[in-house]
Amino acid sequence: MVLAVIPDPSRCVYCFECMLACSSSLEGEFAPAKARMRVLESRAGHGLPIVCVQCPEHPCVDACPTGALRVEGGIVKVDEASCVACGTCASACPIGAVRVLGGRAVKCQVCSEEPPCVKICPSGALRVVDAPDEERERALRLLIELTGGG
Amino acid sequence: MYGYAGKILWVDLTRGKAEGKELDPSLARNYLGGMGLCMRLLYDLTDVDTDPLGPENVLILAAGPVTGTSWPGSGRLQVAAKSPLTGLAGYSNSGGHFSPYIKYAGFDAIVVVGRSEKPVYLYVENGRAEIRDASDLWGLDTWETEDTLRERHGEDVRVATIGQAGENLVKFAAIVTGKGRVAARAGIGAVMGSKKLKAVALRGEGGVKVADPRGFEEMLEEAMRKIDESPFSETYRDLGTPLLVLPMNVIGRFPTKNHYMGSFERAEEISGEKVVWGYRVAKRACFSCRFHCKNILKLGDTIGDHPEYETICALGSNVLIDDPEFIIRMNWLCDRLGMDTISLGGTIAWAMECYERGLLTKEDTGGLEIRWGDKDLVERLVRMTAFREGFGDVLAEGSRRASQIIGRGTEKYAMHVKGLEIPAQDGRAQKSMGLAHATAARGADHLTHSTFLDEVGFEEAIRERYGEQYLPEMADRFSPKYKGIMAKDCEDLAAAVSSMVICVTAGWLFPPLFYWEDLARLYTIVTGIDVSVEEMKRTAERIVNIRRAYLIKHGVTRASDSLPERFTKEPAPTGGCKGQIVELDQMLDEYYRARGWDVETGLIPREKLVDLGLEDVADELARLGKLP
Repeated sequence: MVLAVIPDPSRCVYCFECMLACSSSLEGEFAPAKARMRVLESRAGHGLPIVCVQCPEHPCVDACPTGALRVEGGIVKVDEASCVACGTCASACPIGAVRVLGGRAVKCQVCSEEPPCVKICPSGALRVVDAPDEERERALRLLIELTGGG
Repeated sequence: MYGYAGKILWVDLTRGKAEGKELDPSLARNYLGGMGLCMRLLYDLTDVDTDPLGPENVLILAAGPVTGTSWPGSGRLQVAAKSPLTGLAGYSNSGGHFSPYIKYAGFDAIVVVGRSEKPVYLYVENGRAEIRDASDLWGLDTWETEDTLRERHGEDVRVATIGQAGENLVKFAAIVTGKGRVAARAGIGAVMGSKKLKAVALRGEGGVKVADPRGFEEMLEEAMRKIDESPFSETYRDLGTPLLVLPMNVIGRFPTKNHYMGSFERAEEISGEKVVWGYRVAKRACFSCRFHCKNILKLGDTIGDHPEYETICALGSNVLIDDPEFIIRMNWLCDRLGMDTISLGGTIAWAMECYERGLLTKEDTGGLEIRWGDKDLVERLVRMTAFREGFGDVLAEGSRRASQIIGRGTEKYAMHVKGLEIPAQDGRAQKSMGLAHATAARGADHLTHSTFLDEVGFEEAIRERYGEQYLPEMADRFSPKYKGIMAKDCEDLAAAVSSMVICVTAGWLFPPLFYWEDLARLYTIVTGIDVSVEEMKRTAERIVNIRRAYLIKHGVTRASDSLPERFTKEPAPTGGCKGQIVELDQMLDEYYRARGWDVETGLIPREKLVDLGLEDVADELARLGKLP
């Protein structure tokens, strides 16, 4: 079981509150571009929250040339000291949940058991769950499908 | 500066220059942002001889100090220009996701003057702005323009654009953001078109910092609780404004047949429940909004925003159409072409009534029979208006000018005030709305005053805000008593809220959850500028008074604060307000007194202006002989 933020895109109302709460908490300002998740528009009309679901494969970790990305208790964390902001991890992530920002890779590291993004979401589109591998895997596949990626 | 970006982007399309300049801190403190900033700049930069469609007009797209934070409903955009439809102060407000990105791109507002020779668009990226060629965009509708620009600059780029109606200078052309959130009223889109400015595209990766983050978080948590616990949130979240159709129809406030009556016998067919539940595929919010009152509908292969209550009336009951799918399609068509559905529908309804009465004939219309409820005809007229083809060229002028062109007594059936078509309220069913329509600075409007307290009788809010002594009359929609007092306070609050810029229906004017104390506290927490409740109220009055002073310069007096005789002399023939008229004079007296304006003339006394710190305005009005 791994603690992860799991989106339910069908419930997302595209309000960006999660990005605001996230950037405010981690960067000290309201700045969607600096949040650890992104919200896109789905073709079906609802919002599409893209956030790291701590997938069991973690291709980002395998891709990192400096060992800056590590798995701790199932959660992929970035060691800023050894990150060289090369962006290899970002390219490796099939849903674009890892990005380079301000000279280091950033991603959701599940900041608490009650993260601000989940707390503020008005429509129940984000949950924080202690989830087994299969559930996180399923969440990843859904996001891959909805982003039209893979 | 906290809250503010601290810069205004000035764009001169004649000279082809765009540069950021520091925001004057006293302008920020005295006018807040959004609406206040727009009205001060409009007063300073344009004048009586300014041609609304000339290069000398100014186009302002403004955010405010709270824009871009996570405060509920703070994603709104305020735009302004001298209106080509009214010739007075034109202002309009839209939701969506555009406005916060003005801030994230480094500015509090974008001010555009001049006129480009060729079509251009403005591309703003993180503090830099470029005027770019838009030859390939000119002629596209708003959806195509948005898609093209987001494909070119990235999905996270936010776009505000005009459609063909704006290009063709339709007097009620709109500015459309995110395909369906529209700054529609007063023809600001035509001003944009006259400048040959097709669109503004923003990339903003910066942020907004608040002065007291902990205070903000506390206040936000309280606000979220209040919103979530409000009994109005549930239905409002579900249906949005279309929820109003059935209850408004019951009380006789749902304009039907060119405002002849306020009840539509086939309202069930176009109820919010039918329109939204029948076609919904997703819920949708504007930026940072907890109410998420929008719905995404699907019809055929197309998905798009639901039509608002206003549109269901303007292209439904008011032209005797009872087909939800038609209204959904026409809403999308108007969004794509970039037109205000209220003014468009009102002008078509005028033509229908005049045709029925034999005042308008096939000779005027190029052979078209303009009959009530004719859907094919309405669809043709929508397109003909946007492209100014045939009779559409007359309709594109709006109902006041169109009726002057035709003459022959058709003026009597043009349902406008000061040139702006009356929206979807009947003042005979809710007296405060009659007063609001008559006195709103942009012309007939419900949102300038947002007098919603007597709509369903918010007695508790009235007791808290004004005191027991005003009940039961103030809460009674049929009573003209105390409506002037209520309208004054609601107008001040709406002006201040629209300066922040927050949505008036995100808990401020509807439902009445937050009030002056909250606004002063929020401003102080966000900006670090310590503002008392008294100062906030005075600032709001300053904004309302400079807006009125602009109108007074242009010749507006008490006589201009009027309604069509239909509302003041024709008792409502049917429905929930049968037999009622609007007792306008009585309410006007009370309103002017509450405002400290001259009751005889509707002009502002010198002392009032001086008291609000508007000496310069008082001096100018004195020179023009426009003080009482």
